[in-house]
Amino acid sequence: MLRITDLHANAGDKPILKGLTLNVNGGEVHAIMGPNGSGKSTLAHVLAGRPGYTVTGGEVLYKSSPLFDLAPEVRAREGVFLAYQYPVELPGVSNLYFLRSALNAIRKHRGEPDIDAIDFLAIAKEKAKLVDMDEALVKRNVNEGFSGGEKKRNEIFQMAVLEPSLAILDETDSGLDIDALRTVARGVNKLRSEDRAMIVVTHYQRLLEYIVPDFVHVLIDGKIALSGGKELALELESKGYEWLEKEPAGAH
Amino acid sequence: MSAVIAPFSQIASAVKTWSGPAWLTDARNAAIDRFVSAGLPTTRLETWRTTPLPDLGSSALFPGFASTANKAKAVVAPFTASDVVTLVFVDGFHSVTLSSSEASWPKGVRLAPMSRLLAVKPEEIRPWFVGADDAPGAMHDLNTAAFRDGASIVVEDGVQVQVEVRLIVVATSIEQPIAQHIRNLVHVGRGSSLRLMVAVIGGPGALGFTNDHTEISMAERAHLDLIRVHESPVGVPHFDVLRATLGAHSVLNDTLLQTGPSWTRSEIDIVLNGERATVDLGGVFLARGTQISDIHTVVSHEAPGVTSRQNYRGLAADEARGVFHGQIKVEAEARGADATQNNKNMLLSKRAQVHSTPALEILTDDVKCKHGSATGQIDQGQLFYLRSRGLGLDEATRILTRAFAGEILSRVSAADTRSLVESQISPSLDGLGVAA
Repeated sequence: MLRITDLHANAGDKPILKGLTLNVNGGEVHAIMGPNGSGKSTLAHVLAGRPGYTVTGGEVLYKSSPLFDLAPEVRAREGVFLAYQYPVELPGVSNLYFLRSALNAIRKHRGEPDIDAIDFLAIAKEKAKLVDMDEALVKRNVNEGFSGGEKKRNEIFQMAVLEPSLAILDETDSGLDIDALRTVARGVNKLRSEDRAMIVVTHYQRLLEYIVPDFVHVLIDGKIALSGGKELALELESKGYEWLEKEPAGAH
Repeated sequence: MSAVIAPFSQIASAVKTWSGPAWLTDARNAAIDRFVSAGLPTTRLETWRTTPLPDLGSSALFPGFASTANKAKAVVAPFTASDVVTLVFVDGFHSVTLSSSEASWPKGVRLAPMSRLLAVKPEEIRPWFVGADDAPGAMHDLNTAAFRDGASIVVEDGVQVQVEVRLIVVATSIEQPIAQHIRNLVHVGRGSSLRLMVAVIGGPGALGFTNDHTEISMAERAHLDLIRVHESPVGVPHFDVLRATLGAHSVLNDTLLQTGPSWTRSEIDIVLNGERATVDLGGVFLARGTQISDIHTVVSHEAPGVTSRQNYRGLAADEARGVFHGQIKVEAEARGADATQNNKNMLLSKRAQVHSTPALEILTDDVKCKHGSATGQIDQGQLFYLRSRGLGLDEATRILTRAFAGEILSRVSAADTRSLVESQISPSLDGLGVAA
């Protein structure tokens, strides 16, 4: 699904990713953990194609093709989805209209016919249940006046509608209380499937109690410093990240 | 340097030959004399500093003639419906065949095309011209001198008009450039209410100039919802005036959709001279190509407890120029006045520009007054969010510009009317692109 090899990238002029290598197969959930500033969010943004980041080296193959050859919208149509840490408010743009346009752009890319407003409403209602999202929110303007938890829920709702192949969840747990976290995680878990890969970026182990990953990677200073199974997250919870930062990468 | 009136010289001499009651002839002659001596407005005038008149061509603009209505039929069609009353003006003159039949006109409303009133009952409109304050400016004078048609609407006291009245001003002449001068006079009686649309539109390839002037007087507790669509074709520059005086406790809502491709300037002059009168103004202008789209407002607060709201938005693309000039005047007697003005503009290219100027003149301390103006590029974070969901740059831009204009469109509460104006301005909104 995704093969990242020796990726180097800058945020603005500042080198952030310094040789990151990671393989993600369909059906797998990979957690990326690490201290602030280690490059977790940069990785998420670079994969989505956000302006302001420059790839300076390495290669990313997505479904065996170079990802960086594709414009951000084409990546999305090919099945790449970023759940934002800070979802953007779109005043005056209704959630339903926005999502139906997005879904139809993806369908058009695949050579499938448009879905009309009535059929889409039925899909949206069904998907909203996955994240316990109020129908009123589904019809409101995108994220406008939403609470932090509602915004995150809306991201997962969008993911449910758009059915990506590769979902990148950027700090989806930040700003959520425990109940909202459980709801969002339940929604994500329902979307796990054999042909869908997920990269879950998080600072804390807490989210991984609910979205149990197949692999955990620790990102330190722009590189994977340590990889392991789900138990690694618990170890990090008790020991923190400092012991990894003090030792030179490659010592493990 | 002598004043320039060139494209209007034929009209200026024609005006002197028109017959009519003495009071009107006097008013027309005085106006045309002022126009000829002042000349067309130039950028040397403070209020025209950023809005040069378009090139009107060296050939004379014709004063208009009763044209065949055929060419206008298709452009007018979307505005007609069984539950609205339309008065249609084609190339400066009322069209009986395209307008609603008189049998369908609402009760309690005296509705008449100005051409007919001038011919048979000119006394009806005399109060608007005798002893009234003259609006300042050459273009206003030109309208007073040269108008031949328009609508007279008098809503009698205590009448809630259930149907929407639509005045449709259509330019169709392709062969000869025609200057159409339209004067609409609207009175809303005590405790009465009316919903009125004024649309200035045209056929493809039309040539000329439209000078449309609507005057409104509102009695005590009158209520008027006004929706104005400015979609003049590119070959027909459009100058527009709305003047309204508001009596005690009256309410005027005006929504202006200035989205057409032609050079357009709208002047809005509101006088709140009745206690606790309220005006709520909102509008959007859209400029692309090398177009100028200009909205000038003056809101005068002249009585205690009056309220004004202004919310204007502008979109400028390509090398176009948008202008918003909003003046708030609060007189000493307007104790407790409450005035707000907001102008937000979005620039879609580096060479597009918007001149936004608030002007405040406040002569009392007992006033609440807020104003704000912001002009910026399209939001890159929003644009990327849309693209990251699969929407192409063009569609993402379209969604954001529509949302930006949509706040103004949402002021139109009647669903049928909103979907009509939405479909009318859609091609204009969709034609905007983002450029570096």
